[in-house]
Amino acid sequence: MTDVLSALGGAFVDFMAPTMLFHVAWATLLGIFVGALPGLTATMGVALLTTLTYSLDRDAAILVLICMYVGAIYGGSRSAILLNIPGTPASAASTLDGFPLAKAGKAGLAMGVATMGSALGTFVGIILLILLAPPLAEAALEFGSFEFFWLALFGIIISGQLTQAGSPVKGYLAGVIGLSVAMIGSDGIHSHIRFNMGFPELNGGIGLIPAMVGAFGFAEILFTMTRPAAELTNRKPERVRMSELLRRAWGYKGTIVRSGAIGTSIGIIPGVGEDIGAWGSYAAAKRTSSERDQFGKGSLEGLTASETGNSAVVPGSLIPTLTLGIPGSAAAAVLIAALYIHGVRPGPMIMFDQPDFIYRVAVMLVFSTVAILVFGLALTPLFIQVLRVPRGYLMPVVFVMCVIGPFALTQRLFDVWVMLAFGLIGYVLRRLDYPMAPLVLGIILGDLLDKSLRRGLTLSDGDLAPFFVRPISAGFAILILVTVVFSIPAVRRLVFRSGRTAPSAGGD
Amino acid sequence: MLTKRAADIAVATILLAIGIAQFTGGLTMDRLENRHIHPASFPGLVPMILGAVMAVMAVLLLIGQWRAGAAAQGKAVSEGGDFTRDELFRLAAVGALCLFYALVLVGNVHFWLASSLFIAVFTALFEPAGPMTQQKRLLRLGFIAVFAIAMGGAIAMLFEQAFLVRLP
Repeated sequence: MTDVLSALGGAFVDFMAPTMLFHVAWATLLGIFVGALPGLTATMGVALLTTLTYSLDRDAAILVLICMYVGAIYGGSRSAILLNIPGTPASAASTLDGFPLAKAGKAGLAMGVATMGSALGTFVGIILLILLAPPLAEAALEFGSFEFFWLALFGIIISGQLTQAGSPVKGYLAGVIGLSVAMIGSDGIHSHIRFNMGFPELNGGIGLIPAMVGAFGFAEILFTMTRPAAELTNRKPERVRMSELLRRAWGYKGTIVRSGAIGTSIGIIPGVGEDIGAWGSYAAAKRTSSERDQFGKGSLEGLTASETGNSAVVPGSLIPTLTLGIPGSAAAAVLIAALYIHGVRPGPMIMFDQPDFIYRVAVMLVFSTVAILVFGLALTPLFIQVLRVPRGYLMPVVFVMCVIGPFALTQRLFDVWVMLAFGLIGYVLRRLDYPMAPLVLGIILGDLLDKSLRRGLTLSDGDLAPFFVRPISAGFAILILVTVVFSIPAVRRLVFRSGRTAPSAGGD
Repeated sequence: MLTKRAADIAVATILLAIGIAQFTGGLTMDRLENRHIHPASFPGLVPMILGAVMAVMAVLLLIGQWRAGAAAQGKAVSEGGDFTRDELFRLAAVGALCLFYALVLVGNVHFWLASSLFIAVFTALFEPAGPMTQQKRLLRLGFIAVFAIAMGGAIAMLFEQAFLVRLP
């Protein structure tokens, strides 16, 4: 306990340096702008900023990226409330109550409540990060090749299942496409070159940053430019006293704690992002609220639940990212690439290699949360001006960044081509309702899955039994089987029909 | 207009072809027997499995599309539904301009000039402007030109001076 407190204290002192505070201020503000502008997402922001931070030292670079991540997830609520369009997918649930509140002339109150919810949600997540990450890293030391194989597969399956919008097959297929992309280049055990298609540049594999910038940047530009532009509400937000916001937050303390816990738990699940956290928290709040009839019509509790839930996913997603090397969300996947660039190897060994790092990340989250609280409450008029920036001016500038960002990392035009290819593929897949999170997770986890399966088979001399009889492996295998079987519509119908008929049969 | 169902079928067919190719590629990949590796750890194993899974899933999608065919044909056109002519036109125009900039201009023209040109043309084409007088139109184009040169120059300077990148 003393060690934890001293690590946290040391990190606080380090991050109080003027340079670090400056990084917190600009990166969080930029993140809020990125999140607020429809068409720019948190993942795109983190991916583009990664290319700008490689010359910074480790702590400053990770601090900047975390501030961008937290700021962007929070910033999405601004356009959700004022435009009825979520700035990022994370804020989709916030439009349900945020926009009706703005239409009723309570935009200021809605933005204040969203700010308090986001800040408190992140704090709940930070506490759980500090409590859960170290024991999880320790538990993961027991994992061998067999367990890591199942863990990687579980990440893809659960992400494909929970992020799909209609057909689970498309969710799983997105994961398989990502895994297949990871098979390109030198294999992780024998260094044999696979599927380089005659391009020597592919011998090292597909770069994660160009792929992410394409899938989340260029694809988003194509999406934004092919849709009708949003119109900003003309109402000027009213001023709201801090005491009023604190009173409201205290009134919803139960919702905040529950939504924070739900958001963090969803963040821990690999590849399941902030949008699911927000919807899960919103649904739970609606079930238990005394004002549930107001949900969808301008409920402050509904807005608090969704904003607390999506923000709590950020620290939650960092738990598997840091301790297992498995990203909890798409933005966390980019953070993994950034961590490698800056010499941090996320995974079970992190508590041995860099024992203080998890606590430093927790303190970074605290600083970014304080920043969103300050900026969110003080700079409302500025954010409204930002929302007025026309997309015809914004999008070409973003595309120039998408081109030069990946180039800057390796100085190869080939990475620009990769970005373009992933942008076009990403656009088509997203337009046809293939979720992007499993695809990204597949690219990240492909190497782990490949090496773990082949190492495991080598260790067992080709015998598959250890994959099913070791306790943790067996648990993962059963979980995956249940998830896949329950995603089959016929099975779901059968189970739920028998579930509905059983009580009535008993009653009769 | 392009129906979403037709696009879904086309993508599923492409994925089926990729799946089969990947399975074959994995199956015929060098087993590295000369390096005496364990037969269960040959490099084509996982690509082969993934190729098979991809092909099976693509077939499932095709079956699903075939079954849902009649119902899908009657659906109204909506955002996220079928591709409208306007959407396809905008997609082709934006995509072509972005590809021309990234594949042709970048690397052949100085980066700041290429970027400024791209931003200016993009904004002039895609930022809607209502009916206006000749003078106002010229003023608008002048503003766009200044904006494009400023942004192109700023991004080039940021990467060249601050991050010491040798621009393409």
